[in-house]
Amino acid sequence: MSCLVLADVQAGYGPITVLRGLSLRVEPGEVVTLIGANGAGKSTTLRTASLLLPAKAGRIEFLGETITRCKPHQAVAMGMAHVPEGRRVFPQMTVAENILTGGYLVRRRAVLRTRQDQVLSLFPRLGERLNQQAATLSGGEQQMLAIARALMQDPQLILMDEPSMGLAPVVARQIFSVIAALKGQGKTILLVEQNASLALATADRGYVLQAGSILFEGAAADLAGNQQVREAYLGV
Amino acid sequence: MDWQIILDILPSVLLEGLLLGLVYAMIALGYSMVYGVLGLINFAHSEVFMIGAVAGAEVMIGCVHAGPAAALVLALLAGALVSGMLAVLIERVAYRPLRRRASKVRLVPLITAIGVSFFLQDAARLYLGLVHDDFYRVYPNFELLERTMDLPLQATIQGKGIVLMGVAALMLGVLWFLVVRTPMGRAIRAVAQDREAASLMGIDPDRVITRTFFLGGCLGGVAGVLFGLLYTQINPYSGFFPGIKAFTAAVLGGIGSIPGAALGGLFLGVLEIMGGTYLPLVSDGNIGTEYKDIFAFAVLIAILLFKPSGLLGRGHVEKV
Repeated sequence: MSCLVLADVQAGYGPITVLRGLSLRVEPGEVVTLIGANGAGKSTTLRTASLLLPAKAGRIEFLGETITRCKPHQAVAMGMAHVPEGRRVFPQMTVAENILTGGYLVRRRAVLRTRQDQVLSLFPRLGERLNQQAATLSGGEQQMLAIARALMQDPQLILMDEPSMGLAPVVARQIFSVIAALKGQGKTILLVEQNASLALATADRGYVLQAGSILFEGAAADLAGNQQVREAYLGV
Repeated sequence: MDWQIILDILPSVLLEGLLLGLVYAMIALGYSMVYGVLGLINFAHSEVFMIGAVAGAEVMIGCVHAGPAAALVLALLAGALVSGMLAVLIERVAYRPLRRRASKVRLVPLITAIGVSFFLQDAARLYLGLVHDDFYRVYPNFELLERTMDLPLQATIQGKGIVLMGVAALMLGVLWFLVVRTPMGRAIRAVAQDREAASLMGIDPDRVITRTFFLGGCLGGVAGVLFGLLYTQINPYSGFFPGIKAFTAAVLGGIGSIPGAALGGLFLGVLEIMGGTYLPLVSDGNIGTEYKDIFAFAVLIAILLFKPSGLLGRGHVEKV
């Protein structure tokens, strides 16, 4: 059973269609990356998968169940986490409150505490800033918080949208070392990333997206070696 | 003009202002919380307040033989529940369908809110006319609630004033606890700060919006009963002035801000009573107490001109 399946999905904003019959699948335990130019529909793919954007046509399957007509919070309850583009932490809440809100669906206090400890051991920096307003964090810390919030859901699948956006190279590498650690723990991740070489170095498999549909797919190592991909997205 | 009088009555004036201010604060919280989660000024909230006051009056008149304590508690419960449920109903019937249409025009729900407000005024009038063949309801008198107690500095307070303070403090305390300490409160704040991100945490925004309307309605209904207790007479239009002043208080404190609404309400209540009491004194009776409403609206104009985000409000600064 696949973790996530998008089958012939069409989606867009108002009269504008962005995804034109896009199909992809993510198997359990895989890290899959979507690469493509600006406007190719990478973020839209994630927003459609997490149901923030209703699909106009096609089918979305998560853990074997069709969720095309569900609401985002229902997908979260099933185990899909989405770390959105631009972090989207709750700015007027403290770091601790943001993390607790990530565990909103966890009703048992003991479980909540265990997960909080796990998350803080992954991001010790957040532990030092628990009572600080999220708005006052640096970009890298906000990204850590956004990932921490998602991990509080103990998800079956994590959608990550541009985790390195706007971050200094050092910080971006820190974030990616965390993603690699999550991969090591066997997490399933669908990663959208502007920095294609960083993404392909981390992922098992990749899809190249162009104008709202899949141009081709392959093992990450093959894509990184593919002449067309190298010229178009890796800048070499 | 006698400065001594002004000083002598100052404690009483402040106390009376505090009582009115607590009522405004409770109503203002309803405006501010709904604005927080929906970005909508729910102008029907003044009628939610009024209907809570009418419901409280009915229950209190009905329970008049049960003694002041029982009658009061039942009236407050009735006001809270009727107003809370009414607010939820308004959201379901009038606002949610508009939200579903994904209308980006903010004016549409605003006009709807004004329409709901008129509808509720006339519904209350119809009810009072049909059931009581009358235009208003009067809160019953209880000796215990009317009894005046002496305080230091020549101030006095009535039994109902003490009740008002106690109930308002309890409601504000409970609200603070709910919003700051509980998952439900965090969910409300999360939806207010970023509805989409909140839904990615597994929060159902519609459910949070319903609960926000319920909480705001409860506060408004309790405020209505307390207001009725204080001023005794309630008619279908009793909501208008307190409502629009509480709205001013919410704007003054920074609409969307919960402590702001409470602070704005208290400030406005004190300002209004001070203005109403002292204007005739300093003008040798040329300007009467009836001009007291000027203060609230002067504040509204000033705040909109000079600090539209309010005292504790956050401006619209977007971090990129």
